[in-house]
Amino acid sequence: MDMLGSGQITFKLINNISEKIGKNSNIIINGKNIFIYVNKKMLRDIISILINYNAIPITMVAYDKSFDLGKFQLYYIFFLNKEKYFIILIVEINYNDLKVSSVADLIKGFDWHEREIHDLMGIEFEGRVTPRLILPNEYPHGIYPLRKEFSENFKILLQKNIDNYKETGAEKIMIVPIGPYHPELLEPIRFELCLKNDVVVDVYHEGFMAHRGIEKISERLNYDKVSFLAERICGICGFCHSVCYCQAVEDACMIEVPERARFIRSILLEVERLESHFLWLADFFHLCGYDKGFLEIFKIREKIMILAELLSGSRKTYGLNLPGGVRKDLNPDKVKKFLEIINEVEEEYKKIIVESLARPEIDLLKGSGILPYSEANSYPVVGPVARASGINRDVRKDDPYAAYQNVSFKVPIYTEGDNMARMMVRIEEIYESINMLKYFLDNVPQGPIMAENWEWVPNKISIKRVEAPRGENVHFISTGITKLDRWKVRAPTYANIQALPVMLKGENIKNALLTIMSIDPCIACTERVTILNFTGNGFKVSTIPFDALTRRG
Amino acid sequence: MRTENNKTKSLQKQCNIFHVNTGSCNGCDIEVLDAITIWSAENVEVKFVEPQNAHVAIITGPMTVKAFKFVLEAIKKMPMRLIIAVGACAVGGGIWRSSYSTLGGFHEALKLLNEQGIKIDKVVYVPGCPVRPESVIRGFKILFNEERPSIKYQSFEA
Amino acid sequence: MFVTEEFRGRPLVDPEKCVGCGSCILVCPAGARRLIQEEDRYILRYFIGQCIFCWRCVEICPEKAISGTTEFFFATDNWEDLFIDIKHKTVKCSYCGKTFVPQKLIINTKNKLPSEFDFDRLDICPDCKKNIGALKISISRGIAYEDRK
Repeated sequence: MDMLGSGQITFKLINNISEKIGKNSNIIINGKNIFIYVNKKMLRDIISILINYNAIPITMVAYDKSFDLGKFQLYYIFFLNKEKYFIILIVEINYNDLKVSSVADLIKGFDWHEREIHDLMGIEFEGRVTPRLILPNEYPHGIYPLRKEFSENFKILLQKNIDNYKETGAEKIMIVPIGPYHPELLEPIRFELCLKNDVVVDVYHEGFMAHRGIEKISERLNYDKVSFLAERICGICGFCHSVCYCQAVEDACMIEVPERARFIRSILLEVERLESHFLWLADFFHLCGYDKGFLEIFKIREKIMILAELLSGSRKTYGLNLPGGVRKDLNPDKVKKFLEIINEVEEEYKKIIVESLARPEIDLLKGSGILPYSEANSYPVVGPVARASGINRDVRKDDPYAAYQNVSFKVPIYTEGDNMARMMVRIEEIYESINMLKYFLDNVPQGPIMAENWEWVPNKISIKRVEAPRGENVHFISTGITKLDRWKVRAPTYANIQALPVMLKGENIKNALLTIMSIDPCIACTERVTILNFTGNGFKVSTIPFDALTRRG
Repeated sequence: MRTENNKTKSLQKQCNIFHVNTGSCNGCDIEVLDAITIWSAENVEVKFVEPQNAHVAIITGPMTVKAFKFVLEAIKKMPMRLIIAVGACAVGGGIWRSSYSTLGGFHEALKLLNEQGIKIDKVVYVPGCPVRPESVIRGFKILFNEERPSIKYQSFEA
Repeated sequence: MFVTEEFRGRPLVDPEKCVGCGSCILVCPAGARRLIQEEDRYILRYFIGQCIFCWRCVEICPEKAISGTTEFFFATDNWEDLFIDIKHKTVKCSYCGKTFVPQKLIINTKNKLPSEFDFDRLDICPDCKKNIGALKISISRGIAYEDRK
């Protein structure tokens, strides 16, 4: 217990829990990770204790250990923000009795996690209904793709089932444009807004058409190829996924990343944040009806893409990360050119923002799509959505990674929680990013860019987080003998979309689309579509045609 | 191709596009948007429309099993079936080719479409990860028979 | 819109220098480089439709046969245009007759070895080498006896 060092609160918490579990308590402390083996009967009590200590619920992972241990393991991961410890509850269930009590009423954000685990691993959750989330409704029961016994050749059978798709009424499904890139470029997702007197009372949406089976593929590839796979989870925040995965491997195998590699990673992370925020801002202006702002910001964004190409070799999907460092060095002759481009970008950006914030179209955003602090904290939501509702969390500040401990920057916090606040948080983050980029480019230290002579450590668990443009991104890995045994990605939009019904209640149609866009949904990251079906009593459910949503009164 | 040459000439001044994302990471979709902006500078009017009024369909993404039914229904409604498959995912499945949840790109879906009796007039494949906007525009020109394909099969004896 | 000199375009293989070792096939994350084994030859096939332009094959080739370019125009309407093949003649094992390695790889290895080396060993496939080695050890220990054919 003295290994906890300065963690007084954590010490009290662990004592509290071990009293509850009894004398057979099995608690393992490994660095910053605390593993607690919990009987499934005690699960809800232990989680109540954790909630009382303000532990932040992060994610749930199901791990198929039927080949080596004959059991399945469920990991419930929490984080203590003050003292930076991960608390991981491990529940072991036997292969022939895959049942666990549900905790979705205690932690609202774990609702999707339980449905996903039920779809892909076949574990039953008692005390709730688990409708299909990820796989199509026509998928045969009893087949669980993420289990170790499932081989990827099963795809052949599924192709023959596609004939059934004709009868499912696919013509009635309307595709609503959602996505941070352009309102007319569709991401495959479906929204049904239940209206009463022209005011939204419920949201019904279906998706997960972008589910590509990332976690199953990672069990087949070598660990160095997975960083390329991680980059293509999302085309807008891909580099963050790649850095997060590499950091998790470096933590598990105890690799020391050289200083120059950390700076290069931070530079590209900030370039990616700029690309993403500019894209979102341009799109948001277009939706508000301010088309001049859309075109101006797109022109600035083009300069950032050229900067990214000079630094890494590609406009997007930089392909620079490997566990241990980066593959390609910065060209020192080009650093002066980079600084020129950044200064130009800053000048033009300041002019446009001053002009845009005075427009009447932007003023209409005030007071719509409100997410109060208590609701935001109960899911919890992450990223600019959380910071606009008063929650002061940013992984770059709380738990610095890469080169962020070397630079000082401000984290913008607003308390109104409406669409205007979410826009202002992102506008200020762009200013901070530009300043950080200038500092990093000026102060890159000399040295090697890749760690040499490290060895793979088998059977180790590691959890790492980064701050993507949309929020906190969590990667969980468990290393096998020579490859990854389990990889779980919790993207920020996964946590944010669950809070949408709260934000959309009471809005009219005009603001509904703006609110959905203001959480900056990245459906590819989320890789699923959730169906939140609230069919109340006496409501008239109507599906809105697409043009009604973009019509501005 | 069903259309004659003078019909394709009129398409070049105005192009109605139906865009469908079958599960891509959005990298290629943003580059398509960039390509459209360049094209607008060359006085071609581009509009995003529903399948009933579309001339061309742009497909990105590795054709996930869930999204396939939308593509099937949408292509059935198109009057003239000209298709551009953009990006490594749409051409050959990309890095997701052997996954339980994807079919492996538009070429694999073509076989299923042919089984159902749906005829496609012309398909153009544009590889890239992500694809460059200039390459997408070259793909459009190949679709309208204004240019020859950029690559050819090569075989060497080592 | 212009291309910088740092841009990662299509990697091209020089067929003269390629020895058919297969390193590029092992290291490709997307599976764009494939090996097709036929009766008397190996085909190293590059499918540009799946390539993610990461240039790992450029970094790993031991003969420096793959070079990076800045090409990015690849659009075509014909599916077969997306492939580039390099065909290698293969060599049969002198013991069991099974095809096991491209001819160029053996020639390349011969040029790098000292002249005192027993070059007949190069024509034996790994399985047969293991069996012959095990037989020799067993004979020297008196466990097995030499089978004079």
